[in-house]
Amino acid sequence: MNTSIRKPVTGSVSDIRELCVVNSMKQNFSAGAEHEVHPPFQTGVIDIGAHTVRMDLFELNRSWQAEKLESLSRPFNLGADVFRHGYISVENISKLIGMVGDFCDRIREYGGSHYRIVATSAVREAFNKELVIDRFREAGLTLEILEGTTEVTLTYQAVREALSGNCNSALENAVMLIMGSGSLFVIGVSRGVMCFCQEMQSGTMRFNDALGSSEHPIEQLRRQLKSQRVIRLLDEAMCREEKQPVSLVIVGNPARKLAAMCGKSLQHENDCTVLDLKEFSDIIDACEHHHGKGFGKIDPDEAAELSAAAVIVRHFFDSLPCREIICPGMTTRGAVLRDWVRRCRMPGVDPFRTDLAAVCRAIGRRYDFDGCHALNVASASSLIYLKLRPFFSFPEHTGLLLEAASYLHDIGRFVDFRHHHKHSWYLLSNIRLPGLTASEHRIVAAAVRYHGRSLPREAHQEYSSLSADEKVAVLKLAAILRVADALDITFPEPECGALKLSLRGRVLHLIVDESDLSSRKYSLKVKGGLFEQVFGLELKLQNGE
Amino acid sequence: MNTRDFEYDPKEFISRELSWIDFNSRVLDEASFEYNLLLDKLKFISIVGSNLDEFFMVRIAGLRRAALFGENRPDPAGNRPDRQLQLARVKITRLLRRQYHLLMNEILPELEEKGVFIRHPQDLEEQELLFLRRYFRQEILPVLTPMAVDPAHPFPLLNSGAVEIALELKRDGRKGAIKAFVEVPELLPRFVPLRSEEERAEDHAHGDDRAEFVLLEELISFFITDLFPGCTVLEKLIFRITRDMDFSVEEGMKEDLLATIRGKLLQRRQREAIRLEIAGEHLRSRLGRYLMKELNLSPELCFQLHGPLHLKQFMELVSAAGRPELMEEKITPVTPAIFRQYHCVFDAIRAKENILLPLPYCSFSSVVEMLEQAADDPDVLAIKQTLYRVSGNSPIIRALQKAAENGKQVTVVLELKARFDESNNIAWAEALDNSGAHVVYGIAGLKVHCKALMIVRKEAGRIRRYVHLGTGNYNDKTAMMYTDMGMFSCDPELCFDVANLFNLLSGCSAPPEQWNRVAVSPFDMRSRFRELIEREIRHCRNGRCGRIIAKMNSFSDPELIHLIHEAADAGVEIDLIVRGICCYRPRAKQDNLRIYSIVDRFLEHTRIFYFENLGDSEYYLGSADWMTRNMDRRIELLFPVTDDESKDIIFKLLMFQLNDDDKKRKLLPTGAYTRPRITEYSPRRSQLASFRFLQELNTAMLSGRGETLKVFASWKTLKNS
Repeated sequence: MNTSIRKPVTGSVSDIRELCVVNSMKQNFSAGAEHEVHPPFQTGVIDIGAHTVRMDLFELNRSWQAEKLESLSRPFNLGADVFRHGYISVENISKLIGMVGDFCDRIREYGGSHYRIVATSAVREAFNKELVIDRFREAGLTLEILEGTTEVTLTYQAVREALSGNCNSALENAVMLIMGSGSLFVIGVSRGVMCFCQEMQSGTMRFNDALGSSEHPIEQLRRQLKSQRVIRLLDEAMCREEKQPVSLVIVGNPARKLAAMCGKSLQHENDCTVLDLKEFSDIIDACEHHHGKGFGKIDPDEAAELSAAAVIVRHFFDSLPCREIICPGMTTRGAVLRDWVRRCRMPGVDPFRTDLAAVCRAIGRRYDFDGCHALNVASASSLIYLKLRPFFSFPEHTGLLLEAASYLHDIGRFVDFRHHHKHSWYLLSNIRLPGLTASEHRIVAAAVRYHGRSLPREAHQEYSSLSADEKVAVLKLAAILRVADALDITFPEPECGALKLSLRGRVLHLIVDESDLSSRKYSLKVKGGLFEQVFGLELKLQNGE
Repeated sequence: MNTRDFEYDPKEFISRELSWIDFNSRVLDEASFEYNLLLDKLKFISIVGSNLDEFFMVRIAGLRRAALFGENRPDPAGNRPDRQLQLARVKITRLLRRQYHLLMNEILPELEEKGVFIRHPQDLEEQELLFLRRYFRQEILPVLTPMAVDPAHPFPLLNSGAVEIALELKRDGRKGAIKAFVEVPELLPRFVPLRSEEERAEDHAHGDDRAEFVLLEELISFFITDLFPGCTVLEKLIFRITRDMDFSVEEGMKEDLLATIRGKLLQRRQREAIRLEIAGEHLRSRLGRYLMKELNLSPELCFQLHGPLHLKQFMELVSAAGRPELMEEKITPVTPAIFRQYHCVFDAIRAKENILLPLPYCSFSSVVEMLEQAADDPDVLAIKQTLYRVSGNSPIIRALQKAAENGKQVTVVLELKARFDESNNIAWAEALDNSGAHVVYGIAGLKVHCKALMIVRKEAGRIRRYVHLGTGNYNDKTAMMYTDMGMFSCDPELCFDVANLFNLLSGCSAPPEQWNRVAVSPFDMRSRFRELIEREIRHCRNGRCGRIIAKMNSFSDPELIHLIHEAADAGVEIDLIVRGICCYRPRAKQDNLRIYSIVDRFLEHTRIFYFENLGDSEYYLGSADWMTRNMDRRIELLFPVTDDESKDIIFKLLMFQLNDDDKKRKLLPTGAYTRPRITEYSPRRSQLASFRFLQELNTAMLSGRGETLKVFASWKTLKNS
């Protein structure tokens, strides 16, 4: 359908100025803005995907309940640019800004004062993404690129929250597929906690965009799904016994379309539907066989998307003993909003902490880590951090970062005992941890790198490449991690309850119920220097008895 | 867009064009019924004239093109375009003969008996001619433009629809004759009074109520020599041509829609002629043959009419005659009780959530009031509205302009492609644009035909949206002449859908994957109707009862016709009230399906759809007929009526129609319609019954629920009988 309604906003100076005027009325509601707002108010979340730009306009009432006022979407194929050429063309950047500007006009119509513009896989993977952000900034708009780990965490949390009302038991043992047109996230949930997360470059339209429909994109997708052996990794992480049934939770626009084909409509984000296994299987069979050809009411593009979604679901459906298939109505926009509301209402609370710990433990198991030691180090580092927190400034989520570093600091031993801190850093640098931003991830990896004897130096690329703030964070985290590691280093058994701390003047007393402290004193002497340098505190190990 | 592929059985269908002519024949019947008043009869004559013009401009033009360019596919009834043209010609000739017979032999003579005369200049007295000559010289002559045809001046571009005078002249002292044309200006009154207004007032004071007129073209023709001094008129004739106006804006067009339509309008005069009407027996005259040759028209597209041309303009005479007693008494529309209880329209809607507004029985001023209040209301943030056909000096446009000037976000979706209203709408678009409104010119390839208005208001920091959805245009003039149904609502789910509809119309968004409450064509309206009809079929097949009542203007979509046949065969009780075109051919002895047509003083324009659903009845109102163009090529809206009171009112109004023995005409398997056999109107006449019922109900509503129920109960007698 073509419209000849308004000229698209191009990159001309006047258009940019117009958008600047629009934007001057708004305030981005990303992190940090949560204390400045008081409901009721109207807000919009714009989500730039690989094939569609969408906006949901919400109203938050006095009890922070969100009501959707409008839902807009416009097809826009950024995927063809990025997945084929690697960058977004100048023309498409201009068109995108125009489209987002139109959406911002809608927010203004409702007197909205807050918005958030997030971009997912296509912009995330474009090598000129910084340029895109800059062009948005010039147009008076703040674009935020959602990292894969952030996207998955937000969606997972929002779905978990939504399911807690409807399908309580669904996330006890489950595999969740978050399907986008550019990427696919696979999440394993065991005993109600996320323990596995992997981003796969297997979005429903990705191969179509990258190869074109003549190159058998569906076959490529099938091949990639098989080659990644994600099922084996899932089984390991979930410690799933064979034939132990799981719920398959499918999230995302293609998933909702498949549900609609089964006659289940998901009108609201809190909605959730359980699909009939037989009927669903028939539907995905039908979709798989109609790749690129319209069928029924479905046009060829939609058919291509649905058939790719069907192939993905079929892969997991056939490989796992599915007890049920659940489709929640949650969207990225809803998840972003919920996250912000949560931060406004419960600042400082991180509901993902348990999940991150479980993911770290699962990664640790993959690399054959010493679970007891990891747990001891995590407990000790947490105690030290909590003791120091009132007196020193720490970056946000330090507790979470320390916990992750504690669990993963020794995974390099899987490669080689010698220089294991370097191997740990390398492995960790190539693993994505859900719930952490890229910067936080770098901090954790570098803290792990310096948990041994060596001190950070500018000559080390893994340290010098960090920003100033990140370096400070690494120093503080590594200092605590080294002390915690030193305290537990010789214990064969966990001694979590045994450590007590006391801060008197410039001395931190580490009190342990243990008669022979000689080996620990030695370790502390070797590894505690950084702590004393960073915090200016002397460490004294004492016997509690 | 998703018409099922199936083989049409021609026996199930009536040809669309023939059904349309039959509808006009039913309109013409109204001009023949004894019990209708004289000027009302004249109105019906004029309406038929207007309808025929449009029929030629669009339908005949389309058929002719199809026949000429070999698109010779048969319609669902099995008639190919050339056959349809042939059959249409026969029916139109018969219709015209009847129309002119009624006008010339019954209505005009009867009007003369009542003192309303149309005189011929040649019959006038000296004094009267002196008055007319003065009028001609002062008022008419300055605006006339004679166009001569000679080697230097080719055959002129004559306007479609205008009355023209063709002349053959001989210049004094020169050999040979020339031809010339004079267009009768549409800006001047067609009926020229024989006396000035002062004289008429004076005569009226002395008890002389006579109203005497001369037709403008006859007057010009009489004094034509003033235009051509030094020439002798050899022959003259009055004629009118109709041009092919069936143009469309190409699919996929991305350029400026406004400029494209302007261009198309400019080309109107150059489009092919498809009809020639000549007053009197002049077709075989020299000038008649000359016109046929120059306009390239075959004899079957030329009509000799035994009376004045351009009967549409006889509507002028209805008011010019100044005889209200010769017309049915006007009704005074009621203002819904709730709007009398609340000063603020928004408070009223909030109090009731849904308010039904049946037109013309209820006043359209509530809609205008809503817009006017919104324009001045500091809490109103935005107004969005679709406009298809707007009246001249529209209060709706004025309110929208005011709102835009007051800084509200005003978005108007103005359909530039509304047939025959293109130029008006372009002018409105520019006026609104100048006021600061954001004007959206519709969508290329799809006509925006839905009727929706949404007002966004911020109340104590929270957004509340108010909508008015309707079956008819936002036109204050036609709101007094057409029956339509509107609904005010602030139901959040409905408002959410309407907001999404406006985003779609303004090009801001693709259609949502799913609508909450409404169905929108060309996306899901067809499938929604299919589901609703199939559900009734299922109920019947499961041994339960199925019931459908649908009221619309036209019914011609082959898939829906097929489905209704299926429903009728399954035993679903079906009542269809189809005012105009109905291509459904009922089967003989199928008692569970009845199709009626009602033509009365108000044009039946409501689209109501009722599905009984085993007692859990569903009511829908909409802007769409069951026509393929409405389902597939237009943006149309179907919305549910969910509150019990509104449902009861709608059901009652439907029952009035189904029990209307005065005006209801049943479609027979032969394709013919029954004629009412009455001598005078009874209380069963549905339009008046509807008005009285709503009047009583409205008064009762002011007194409370108990009184309201009493009104429903008291009108039950009529329903049951």
